[in-house]
Amino acid sequence: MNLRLFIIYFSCCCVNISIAQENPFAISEAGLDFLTGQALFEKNWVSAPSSTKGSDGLGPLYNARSCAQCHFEAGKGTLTDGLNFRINSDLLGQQIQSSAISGLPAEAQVDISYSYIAEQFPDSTEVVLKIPSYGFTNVQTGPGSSQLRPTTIESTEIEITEIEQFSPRLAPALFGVGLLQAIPLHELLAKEDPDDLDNNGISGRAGTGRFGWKADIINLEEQTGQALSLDLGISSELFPNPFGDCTALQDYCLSRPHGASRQDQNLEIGPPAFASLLSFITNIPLPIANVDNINISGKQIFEDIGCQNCHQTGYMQGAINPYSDLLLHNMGDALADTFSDDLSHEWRTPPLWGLSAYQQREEQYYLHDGRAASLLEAILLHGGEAEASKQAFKILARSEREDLINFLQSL
Amino acid sequence: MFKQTCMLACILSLVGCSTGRQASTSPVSIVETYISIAQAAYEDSLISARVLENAIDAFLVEPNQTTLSYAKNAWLAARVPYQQTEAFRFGNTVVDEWEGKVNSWPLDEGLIDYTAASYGQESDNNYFYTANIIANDLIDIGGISVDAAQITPQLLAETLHLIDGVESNVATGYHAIEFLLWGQDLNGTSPGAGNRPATDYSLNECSNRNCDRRRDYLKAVTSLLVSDLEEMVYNWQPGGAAYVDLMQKGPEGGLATMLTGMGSLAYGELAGERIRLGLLLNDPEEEHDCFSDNTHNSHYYDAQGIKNIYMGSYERINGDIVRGASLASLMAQVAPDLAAQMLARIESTELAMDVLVTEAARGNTFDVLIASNNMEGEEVVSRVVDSLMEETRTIEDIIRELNLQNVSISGSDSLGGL
Repeated sequence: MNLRLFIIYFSCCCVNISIAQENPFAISEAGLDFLTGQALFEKNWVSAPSSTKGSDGLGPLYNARSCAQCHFEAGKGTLTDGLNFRINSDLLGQQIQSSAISGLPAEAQVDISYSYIAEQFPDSTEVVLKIPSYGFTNVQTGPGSSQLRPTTIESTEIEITEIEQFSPRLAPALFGVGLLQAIPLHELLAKEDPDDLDNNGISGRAGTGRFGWKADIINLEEQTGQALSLDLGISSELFPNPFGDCTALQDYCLSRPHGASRQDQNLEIGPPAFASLLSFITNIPLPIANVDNINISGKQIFEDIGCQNCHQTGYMQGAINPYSDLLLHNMGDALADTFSDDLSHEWRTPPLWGLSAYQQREEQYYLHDGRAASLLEAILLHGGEAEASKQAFKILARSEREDLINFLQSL
Repeated sequence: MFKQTCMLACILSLVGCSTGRQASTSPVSIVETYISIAQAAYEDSLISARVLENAIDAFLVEPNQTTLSYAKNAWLAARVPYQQTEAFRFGNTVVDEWEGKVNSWPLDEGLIDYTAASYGQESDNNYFYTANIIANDLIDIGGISVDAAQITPQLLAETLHLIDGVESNVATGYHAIEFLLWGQDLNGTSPGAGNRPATDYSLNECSNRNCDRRRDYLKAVTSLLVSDLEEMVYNWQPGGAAYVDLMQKGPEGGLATMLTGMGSLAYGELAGERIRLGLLLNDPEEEHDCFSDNTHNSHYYDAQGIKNIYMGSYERINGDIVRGASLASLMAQVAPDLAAQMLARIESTELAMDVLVTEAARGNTFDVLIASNNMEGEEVVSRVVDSLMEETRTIEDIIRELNLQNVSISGSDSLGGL
């Protein structure tokens, strides 16, 4: 086995989470920086107060205990670890946290049910597509006090019986995110076409940033800080609130102790540790694509039917090939979230590089909410600006479809 | 129980046979020595865990400060052989997958028992956490409801340990026992370890409530440690999982495993996660043995374990020496300069670790050394990191010199860069 391809990093003292990533640095200070960043990435934060003082500060509300819980092996999340729901609620904040520290109720549990649509190809091959619908149970219904358990919290001022506006977001893959950050902004803006002037049915537009499903995060520092805050409840320099996503109405949450300590400049993760974490994330390499085995015909079809229009390559004179324009596109009604804003139909093109990392996994999750269990399903669930490409895909010969999928699997 | 004791006696006599062999330099005999050391060190770990179990039994019969201090001493003694086994963890999947049960850290002690409301404020009545195993028959963890009415080894191992998929939900192993004996270290970056009162285990004058359940927990977790170590002792006997795995790798693969373990422990684990991370966070509790303030020894014996494997020599807890063909003698033959360099690196690490131990004896335990603004402490600790880094570089040179394949030093890409 080639060492460069697969170095298993053994995480500290523990068994379950390890990242099959290589350290790009030789034995050196920089190497140790990456390493300690990786340790922080895998670190399970604990609730305050704890004698593991530098590790406390989790929550009070959280979705995950560590970065690696949802970004397993630096890849994307699954439906159980890594599907979060953005909301816009005076009571529950910006995101539903489905876990909470001991003695505190979680905000809600997510209940996914499915309906099914069968799609048929001209050669009569049938594919069943899952359409999820989301329900929320044990939703916190109002301000409570710290002694109350979830079942006995009484509704007082505010009542939420149903969460109607929400946006599901699957934790994205982190492969090569440092390279995405390195693409000059003008190269991205050059691909914008908000009014579809070239009349190809595709109107990519830049979000307020290049990261996140809504292209609203400027850089990895902001992305990492936001994820620590919303997903783990850990405060850092850019997001200094130690209570994470607790709102003013969640008094039972705000009354919990937090992990901000003087030595960390009143943050739950201090600047040096944050910098080390960022060094790891920025340097997470791509899985090495199997270049000898690339499906040439599949690649050609990818370009011919227009996938390439959004899943773009060739940045920095061809040095960076993520298969994404990092722009927002209308993906149709079926994929839209239920936020009543003009972004509800828009999703940032996810990079396709690194797809090879999932091909050995038993369960795969594609699209913004992980509803597609295979690349074939993912393609067939495209809509909106991708409708024409999808229709072109559907009339391909079976072997052509397989070539295309093969090509994607090798990335 | 009788059967196990008998088997152990048989095993001990077997290992006895391998001592005193003449050094040779064939890879087969070097790997044989490696296995003998693994067998002896895991047996020593088991023996000392049983001594610990006895000391804890005696403590529970008559809980007072004296019997508690005996139990604590037994715990400290048990760490000496165990830490020397850590270099076997990396490269041996059987060990690495098992290791989380006995040595997981850091742990969220609120899962197990009461914790102080805030640092520097000790109070018998002011509990922050009510959701801990010892205080609750029924507990909620991350939304999961667990019936903990009977605290048994099974409950701890199969249900509670790493519950919710969370690494810091450590319910078992050395560090859980350490917390139960010492309690939280509330001294921050000042000298001093945890200071749990013996009456926490008294049925008559119970302090901090739930002494009966605390006793049950301590008994269950200790017996679990013993049975987990029994499992690992058997894994290293001929036919055992770790033994078979290693044999299947062949002699060269065996050498690669040895060097993988040495380098991964020195660089990624010890220099990186256990030491530099603590320095980076300036975290008073980012220490491996944080309740007992025994971290200096824990690191020292980790380094000793790396040396043991290279030198093909291990001093047992009863003073016997297990010795045989070694990487050191092989290197002395094939590359004398590199061999000399490696000895120098090992010595330099040992010296740096010695300083750590000396400082601890003066009250400057690891948590004190890594405090922010402790420049002298930082120097002492950085020296350990630097010497481990240098040692790992030389280990990589040895791997290159021996032209070994399939070696992956955790956290380093240097070899792949060739």
